[in-house]
Amino acid sequence: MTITIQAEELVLDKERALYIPKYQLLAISDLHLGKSAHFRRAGLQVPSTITQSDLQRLDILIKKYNPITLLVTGDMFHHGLNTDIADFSAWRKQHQNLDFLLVKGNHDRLSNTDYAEMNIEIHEPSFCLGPFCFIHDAPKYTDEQLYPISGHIHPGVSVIGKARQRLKFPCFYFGNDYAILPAFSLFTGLYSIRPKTGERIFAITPKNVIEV
Amino acid sequence: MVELALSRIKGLQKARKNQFLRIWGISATIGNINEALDVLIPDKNTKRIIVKADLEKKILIKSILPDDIETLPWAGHLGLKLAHKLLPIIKKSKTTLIFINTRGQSEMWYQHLLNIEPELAGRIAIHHGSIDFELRNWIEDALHTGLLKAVIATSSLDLGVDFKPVDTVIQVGSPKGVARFLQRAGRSGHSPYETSKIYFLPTHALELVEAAAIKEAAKTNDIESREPFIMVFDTLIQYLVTLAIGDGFDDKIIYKEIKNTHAFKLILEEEWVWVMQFITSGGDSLSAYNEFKKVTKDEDGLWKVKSRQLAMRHRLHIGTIVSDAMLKVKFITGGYIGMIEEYFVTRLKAGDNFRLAGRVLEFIQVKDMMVLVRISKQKNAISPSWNGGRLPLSSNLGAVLRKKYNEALDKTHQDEELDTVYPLFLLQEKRSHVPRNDELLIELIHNKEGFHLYAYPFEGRLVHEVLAALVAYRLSKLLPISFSLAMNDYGFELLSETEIPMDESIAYGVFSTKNLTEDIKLSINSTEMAKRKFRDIACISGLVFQGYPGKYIANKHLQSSAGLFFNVFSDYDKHNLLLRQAYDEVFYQQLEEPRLAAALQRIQESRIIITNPKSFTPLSFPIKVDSLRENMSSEELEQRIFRMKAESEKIK
Repeated sequence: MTITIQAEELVLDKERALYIPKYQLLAISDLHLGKSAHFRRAGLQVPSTITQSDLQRLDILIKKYNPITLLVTGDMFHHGLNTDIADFSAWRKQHQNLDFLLVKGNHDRLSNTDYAEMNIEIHEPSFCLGPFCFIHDAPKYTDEQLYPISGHIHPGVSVIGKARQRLKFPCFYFGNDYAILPAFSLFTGLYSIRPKTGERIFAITPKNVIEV
Repeated sequence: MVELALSRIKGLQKARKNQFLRIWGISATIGNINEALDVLIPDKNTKRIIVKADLEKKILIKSILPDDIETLPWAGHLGLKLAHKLLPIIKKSKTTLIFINTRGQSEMWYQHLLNIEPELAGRIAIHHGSIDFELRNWIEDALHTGLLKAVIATSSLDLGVDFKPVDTVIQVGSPKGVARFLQRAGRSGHSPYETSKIYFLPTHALELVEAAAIKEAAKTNDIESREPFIMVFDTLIQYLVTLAIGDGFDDKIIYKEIKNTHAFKLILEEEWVWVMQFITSGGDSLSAYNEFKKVTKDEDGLWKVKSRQLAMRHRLHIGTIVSDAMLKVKFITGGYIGMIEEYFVTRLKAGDNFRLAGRVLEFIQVKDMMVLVRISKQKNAISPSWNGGRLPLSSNLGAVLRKKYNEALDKTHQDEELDTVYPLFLLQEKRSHVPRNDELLIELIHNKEGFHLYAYPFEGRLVHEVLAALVAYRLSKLLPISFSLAMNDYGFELLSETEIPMDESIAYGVFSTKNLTEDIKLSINSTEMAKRKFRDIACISGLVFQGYPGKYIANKHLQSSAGLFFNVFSDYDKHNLLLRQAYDEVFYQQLEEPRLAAALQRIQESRIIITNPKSFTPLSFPIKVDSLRENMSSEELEQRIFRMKAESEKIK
């Protein structure tokens, strides 16, 4: 689905990603790499295939849009180095030509050499481009004239209908003051948000992105 | 868990060449006592004996009737309207136990009794599982010495304790089963040759019929069976890890031991291998569980948990009763009062008042995972809700209940309860119909909310849950339609925003026994029943970690939900036995397929009566107000969203 925000064209992909054709930039948020391995180390049985499938989805997106830049708006790495991250390093080597940018989030605690080794360019606290300012956790107010695009909360929306019908989906949020991207990783929960008038919400179903 | 523990004790005895072991099981209220013996001691070669006292326990059961049926609401669980009728009973008895079904309601009852009879202040107390241990001990002591005139209790006082001064018991609301009712009655006159006295206080009108049914079942001693649990892999996993945090275990010995329990005698070799893999390497190799750490083989050949942190986390999680995360409540000046659910705390603001252990408390703040409060001067406050389970009506009671409905109509009974409720039957007959034993009533009601379909098989809540899903699934095959499902012990409701197709031939079709097994499977898959079961399974098997007491932040990185695990396993590890257990539990425990087949058979032989009442009937109203709902849809998801959106815009 293509929408216009701040006079720029944005593509919302059902694989929980945002593409800006003008800058050939693909933006995702909350990848949480290493989360499943962190759980396994703590004795909780989470299959590693979940990380692999996250990376495969990223592959498909890169093939589809052929971006110059891939931007992660925070929480790219869940905790410390582990086998999931090793899987990512291998994946990164296959995409050498891609510029990989990370706006640091609260979970991103690896050392600068680790990021450098994986060829990831770090931006703190934000990365601004055109009318947009990518930041992990949206500020309550900004001095700048730029429109913040954030992640962090893993937004979800409930669609409520007649006869006590209720459905819940991950979503994109575009408010008056800022936007929130859905969490990219499938191993994440949802935090429900309620839109106010004038704000736009796009629910992500297994097949489509739908404005609700 | 008891079976597994016994198997270990037996194993240890055997290893010490000490064969002398005596196992006693004690129960007053169990219908299938022979099966219970098999569960306790599965080895038929052991000397086993059942000892039964040849003593008839006299029980006096009396319903507290409203002067007028209009006093009683059509639905509800609280029953405060009849509270004034308790006062004379409390007054003339030495000590009275008042059983209330939930903790939240018991708090309200305590407050209400004090409001209508201030003289009781200091002479009544409240006792439930979320009240601080020491406070409960004090109440129990006071009960022994006869200091208290009345105690309001939940199931926390059901078992085991014997308080001499108690001579009267009051049950508020339906006890939902004969065994529980008799158990509670037995708290009064608790010695041989004495008579137990129990009063039943209905909380809504139709409960009077239940009262009559329970009385009859108690008279004929028609006590429910308790079905033993089998193949509960979550419990097995917890047990094995518990052994591993102790001295460790030898998998060959333990396998033999559990193979001899009733619960796991049918376990297959490959299932055992899977369970061992689950705790040692995370799961089968296909699903790749790199870096997994939990139980490892030690140099001495025993399986152990090496990490102290993991061991501590497991210890905090031992048990098979799952509850939400609880926080302790403490006075700012010191002293504990009890516990409330974390969820409830998140809704409190500083200065808000709530009720616990019969006191009105002012919320100050949460500090170090402790809810700090001070005594409030306010009289009224909200009661916390504890997320306990709902009690379904037992199957024994369902049949008696159907019979009582017939008797009430024909006036072929001697139950005063049925006389009182008779006007309600007349109203039901006027608006719709009162189903007879050989009839199934279906009511179609259309109102602002949508199109409602009510059906009343009287089979108990658990069966209705599956039956509602089955009927919804079969209807949804006829056309694309979305339902919201609700149920109680009498019947179930399907609610849709489009008209539900229904006539006699469709009715016989959707209640047919044809293709039953297959259709049930598909209908369970398309609702969230299994996912809900998985909540407990994930907790018991240690997948979901609720946190260390006093340490909130430290476990943030390990936070997840049972629902998330359910989805992950469904997508990436279909062979997971815990996942299968969730489906099996819906399928076998809840559904009792033979019982469902029998019910459908009965319906096939019945006349199906379809009525179109203009408004809700005494039978349908209690289901309508039930809030726990399932969803089922055969519409395309995108279509559904568009339609829901269009409707909400119309409302605006």
